[in-house]
Amino acid sequence: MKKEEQNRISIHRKMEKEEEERIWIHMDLVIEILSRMPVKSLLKLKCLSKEFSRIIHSRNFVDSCLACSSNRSRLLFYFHFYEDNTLVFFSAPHRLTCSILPTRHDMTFRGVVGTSLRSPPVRGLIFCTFGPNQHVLCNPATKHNISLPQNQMLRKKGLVELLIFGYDPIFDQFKVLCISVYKIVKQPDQYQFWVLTVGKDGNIWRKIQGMPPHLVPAMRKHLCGQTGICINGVLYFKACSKNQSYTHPGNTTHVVSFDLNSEEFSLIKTNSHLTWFSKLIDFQGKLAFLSRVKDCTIEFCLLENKEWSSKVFHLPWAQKYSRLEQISDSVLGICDGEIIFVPPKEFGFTWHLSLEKKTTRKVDFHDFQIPSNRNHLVVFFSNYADTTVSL
Amino acid sequence: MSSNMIMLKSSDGASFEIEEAAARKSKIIANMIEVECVDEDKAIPLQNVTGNILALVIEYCNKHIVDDDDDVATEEASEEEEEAKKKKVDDWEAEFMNSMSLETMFELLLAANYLNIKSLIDLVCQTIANNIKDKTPEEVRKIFSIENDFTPEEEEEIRKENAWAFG
Repeated sequence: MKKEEQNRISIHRKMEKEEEERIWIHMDLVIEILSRMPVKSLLKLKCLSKEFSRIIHSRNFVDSCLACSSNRSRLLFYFHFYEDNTLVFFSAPHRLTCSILPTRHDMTFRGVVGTSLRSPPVRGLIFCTFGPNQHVLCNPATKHNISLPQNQMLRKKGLVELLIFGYDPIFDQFKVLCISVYKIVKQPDQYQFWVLTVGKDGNIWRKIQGMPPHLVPAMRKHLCGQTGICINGVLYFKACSKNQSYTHPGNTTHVVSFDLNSEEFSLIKTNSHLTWFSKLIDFQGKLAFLSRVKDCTIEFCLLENKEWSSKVFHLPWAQKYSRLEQISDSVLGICDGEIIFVPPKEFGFTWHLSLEKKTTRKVDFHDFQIPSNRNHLVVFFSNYADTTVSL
Repeated sequence: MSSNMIMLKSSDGASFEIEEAAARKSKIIANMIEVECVDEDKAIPLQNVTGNILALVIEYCNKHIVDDDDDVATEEASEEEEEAKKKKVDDWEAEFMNSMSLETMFELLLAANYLNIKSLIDLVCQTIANNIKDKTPEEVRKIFSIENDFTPEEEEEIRKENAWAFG
């Protein structure tokens, strides 16, 4: 290929008099086109040529897919069927319409446990736990998955783990933070911190230090289903003072951040409205959470330039739920300036609250039936995007 | 609304008159107007755009200038009204792109890119993506004149890895 022909492709233009001329299209525009295609089509186009195959899995390409997130951002949910321990994934577009049609990702996992605590999807990848010290990363869009290495330093007896999955954009790497503790009667809890850089550093878990000494991470039941969240290369998780019960009314809940690049822990400015059941959300790259003021009045708290600000909203459906944590647990995240909620113990629709207009609307799942009537748990995430990230 | 008119001249010498507000959809033309290098009596020469494509660009800009004005006027519009309006624009865009050949779409994309009209780039890219997404790799190779540099074994490997996508 001649030098000037690189980085672009051509299509023929039929001219009058049966002459043909080529229309040259720069690769940047080709990427613009490809980034608007579904992952299924992209996997087919991988066999166009070596260059296309490389582009489709490249970091820049995934970045441009995520940049048109208004097209790609989706609601992801999976059913965990207890009887045969399987996960079945579905996703649906976020649209300004009153109903959406979820599509099934034919990827089924067997032998899954521990879906009660989860880390939200990052760049289209989901982190799943199969058992103590057994974890898998999967991409529901490409249907590929990999098992993560076990931490050889951990023994299973009495082990409790908290895992948060994230992406470091500086070095373009996925990392997992694991907080482990052995719950053994009459022995003080010893928390240990581990990091795995997926597919790098010999793929082994490294022990790290530096958690603020007066705090312990919030574990298990005190989390409202969420282990933590990754925003722009930083993980956030909740913690509280040592030797105090989480649920004690006077106890303050803190947020600890963990920078995936420097691997340093820091303490985020305290907000007295944050409780152990507040769900942390990513609002356009900033940390946020919701707290209930009274009945249907909700406060949206946002961390900007190290200061907390808040806005108050009316949520008409909140009346139905008496427990505070039910509201917090129902928050999925934010898309196009709307907070998305999924009502607890109900299935088939989501609520959307516009932060700017303060209006609410309901979005129904169209033509959707639960794939089985067996006992199940359904887990929702917003801000999921189909990507071609390879595993 | 400003009723200033601007003249644009295509690479093949065709002249078009367009409202300044519509022409400002193009960042390149808007910049030219800002720095006052537009002479009211002279047409702006657009060397990379032919007359038939420029006519399409102008049709798009004229349509969207009206929509943008509506947005300002009815900021307090209800959700239903907004949804209806969005549907109207979507319908117009679908009609506009419909029946356009793939070649014309690519020429329009190049023109939109040259004139820097973001919303038109988005529209055309999405339409081309929809047009191509269900085609076979062989068909796409033909459209883009792409040379297959995989050995049959390598290609088979990729197809096997992602067999579900070819179903």
